[in-house]
Amino acid sequence: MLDIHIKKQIKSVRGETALEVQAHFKNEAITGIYGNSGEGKSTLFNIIAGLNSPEYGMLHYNDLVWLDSVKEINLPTQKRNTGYIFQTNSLFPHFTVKENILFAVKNENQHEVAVSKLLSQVDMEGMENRYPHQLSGGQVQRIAIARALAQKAQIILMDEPFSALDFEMKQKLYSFIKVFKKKYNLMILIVTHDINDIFYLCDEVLWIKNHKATGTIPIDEFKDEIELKLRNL
Amino acid sequence: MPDLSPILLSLKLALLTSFVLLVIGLPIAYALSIWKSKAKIVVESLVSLPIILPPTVIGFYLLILFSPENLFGETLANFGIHIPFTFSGILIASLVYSFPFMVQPLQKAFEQIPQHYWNISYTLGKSKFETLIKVVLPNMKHAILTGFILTFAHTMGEFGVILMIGGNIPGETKVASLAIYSDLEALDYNAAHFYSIILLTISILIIFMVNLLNKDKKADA
Repeated sequence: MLDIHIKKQIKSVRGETALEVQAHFKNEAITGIYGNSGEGKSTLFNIIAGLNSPEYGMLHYNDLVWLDSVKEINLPTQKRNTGYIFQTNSLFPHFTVKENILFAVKNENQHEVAVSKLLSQVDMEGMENRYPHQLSGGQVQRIAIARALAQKAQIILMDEPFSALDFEMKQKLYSFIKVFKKKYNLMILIVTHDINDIFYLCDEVLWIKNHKATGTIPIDEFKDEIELKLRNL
Repeated sequence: MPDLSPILLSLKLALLTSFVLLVIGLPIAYALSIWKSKAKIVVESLVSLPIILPPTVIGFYLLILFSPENLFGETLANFGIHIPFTFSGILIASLVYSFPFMVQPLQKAFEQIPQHYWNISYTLGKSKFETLIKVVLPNMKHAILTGFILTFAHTMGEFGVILMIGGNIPGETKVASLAIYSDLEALDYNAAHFYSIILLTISILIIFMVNLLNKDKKADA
């Protein structure tokens, strides 16, 4: 599980404001990070990955302290072992699919990684020597997931992974992620501003409103809140 | 058959300038690409200055700087280092004169590398240096080649700055462009033609290579 309590000054359309998040993310769950644009969703991801530091913060993953601003502990990104998947260009364009996957593995362990087996797990057999520009958006995201598997990532962070995909591709990737999560018991966090992504995929939701969020809510509660909001429109 | 040494000297100078500027230019271009300060525009203007500054002005001030009559030149001379009218002198002048031709394309390329390439690499356990070598530099290979070729071409054609600090010493500082000037003054048109045709051929080849690179870059995009 991942416990987070952070406070960070961010720039918003209304000037400088504080992003404040307190939450508890469960292992083996898909949690959606939902909110309007500019709420600080990606900043939160960067803090979890160690790419950004809050002014005040505490971040515990299982028994490990990743961040404690009072004790001045800040585990570097390289040691957090998070798989980060972006909206587009999640793969390096100068590497083939195989090279992209092996890049996630330490040199001394590369011979142990069966790339073809990993690719078959993401339904991408025979794609080892393709370059990212030769793949569709959905295929790129699946290879990025295979890379996270090779990396043995503990947490997978997906930042708007579906926004560049068409409807059919989205549906395929939704089913794929669901099966994949069940098979590998991973913690998956997905940043999105699209409620459909949440409805189809997530077990829980962290809803950031006015740059603040306290605790996740179950998906049913989120659906009720959205329905109520729609009825009041 | 005219003397080939000016051509060989020009090639040696251009190659050395391009290699040295690549090594110096990469860290400077990277620093400029990430530097967020109001003073950045001042430094960028200084980097671009050799593009518009008359070469004779650069040569003149370098001559003054390295002259044994001045403190800096005198200190170097005390260590047995003499810069004016030597190959080292024209190399230093070329480095200053061609500096923006290397740094500008590299800086632009660093700025165009998406931040998330760095971030993904860090999350995959790679250090900053490893990311630079294995991810960032391979993705700016066109800019590196363009910077190298432009610097090479610019150095091959240098005249004023070399004449100022290097004089026109055969085998030491007499490069192809100076040889053309000397042969013209001596009314030896055949020799002037010989050097000119070689420089013209090299220039055409360079322009062709730059265009080919740009075409490849568009195809990759």
